[in-house]
Amino acid sequence: MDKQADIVVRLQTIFREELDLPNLQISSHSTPDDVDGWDSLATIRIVAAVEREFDREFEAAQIESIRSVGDLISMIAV
Amino acid sequence: MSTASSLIDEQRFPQLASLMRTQYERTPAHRNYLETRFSHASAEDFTTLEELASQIRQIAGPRLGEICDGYDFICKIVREEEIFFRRKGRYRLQTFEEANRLVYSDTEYMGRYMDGLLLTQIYWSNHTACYQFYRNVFLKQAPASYDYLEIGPGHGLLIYQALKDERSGSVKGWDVSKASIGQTWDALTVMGMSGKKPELVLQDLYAVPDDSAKFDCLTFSEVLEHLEDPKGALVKLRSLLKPAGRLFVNVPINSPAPDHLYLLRSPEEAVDAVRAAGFEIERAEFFPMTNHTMEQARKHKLTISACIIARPN
Repeated sequence: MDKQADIVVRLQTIFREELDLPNLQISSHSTPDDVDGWDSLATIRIVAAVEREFDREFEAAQIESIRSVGDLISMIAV
Repeated sequence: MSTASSLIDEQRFPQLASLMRTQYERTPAHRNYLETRFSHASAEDFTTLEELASQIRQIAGPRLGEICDGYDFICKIVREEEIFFRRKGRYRLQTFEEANRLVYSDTEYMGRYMDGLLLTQIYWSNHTACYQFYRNVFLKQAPASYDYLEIGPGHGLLIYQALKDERSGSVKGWDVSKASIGQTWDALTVMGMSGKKPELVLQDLYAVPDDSAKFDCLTFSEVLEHLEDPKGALVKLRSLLKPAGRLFVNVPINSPAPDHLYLLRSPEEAVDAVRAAGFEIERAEFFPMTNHTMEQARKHKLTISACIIARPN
């Protein structure tokens, strides 16, 4: 599995848990407009879970700029 | 895209519809969240929301747009605190001195923060539910000619309900901030005082002498979480009640904000804190964060508003 695919799989687990959507399928194109319950506070919970999962800490400005799963992937992959 | 809400009947709820039009024009990013919030509102909720919108528009006057911007501001600063809370499992500030130095003394910041808070009475369903509980349960069951005191009346929306209640006797408000008292006074002036004279005074709860006047109804809404010594405050409140007097406490659980110090991790902790200060619980109701169920709120440690009515035991 390539690096991006691995990130998406791990992100999907986090999104399913944080948004209580056990069957959710995400892709790099997923945005708050097409995922139920993904509001700005949910983004914070997702980011906190991502930080724990990937052992990273992001800047406030990076977190504020998240508009899609792709944005999260880019932040993690750096 | 139209800036009108697709869920609010403009004929029946013109004040609310107009407010939302202004909000969506100024901050379109909040539209999805707020439309979802209104999709969960009942017919009774819409009636309450229309009343609140009318009062808030009176208070706002020509500053309505600015106040809508304040809502965007409060969302931003809450997100900043939320990330700290998620990482560390606690609120950022621990002492009143820190809150005073970093938050309360910054007049411009506080102004925008208070503007945003005013609109959360409508936009955050747990805040609306607390307002309904206060009015429909707490005030409704108060005795005839009741003596009323609110500590920290702030935006004035709660004390206004007591003031316009024809069953109320004396109506008082205490605050430690002269600016807050001025804000409450201005709000009551524009909303109308129903021929009564509320007494709004600068008074520190902790400094009240033991032989102070006693009250039938004490309101302590969204104050406890700002205190370094919440237990001492609750004990003091008990001493201010008549023997059959009733206390209304509204306190948020897991609710990071720039000036919140007292972290309660469950609604039961809030009830236990009130009980431990010498009260028996008459009724307690809990309301989860907007657009979430109570089950989700408990599972993910989201904000829950705890409303408690208690009597001295």
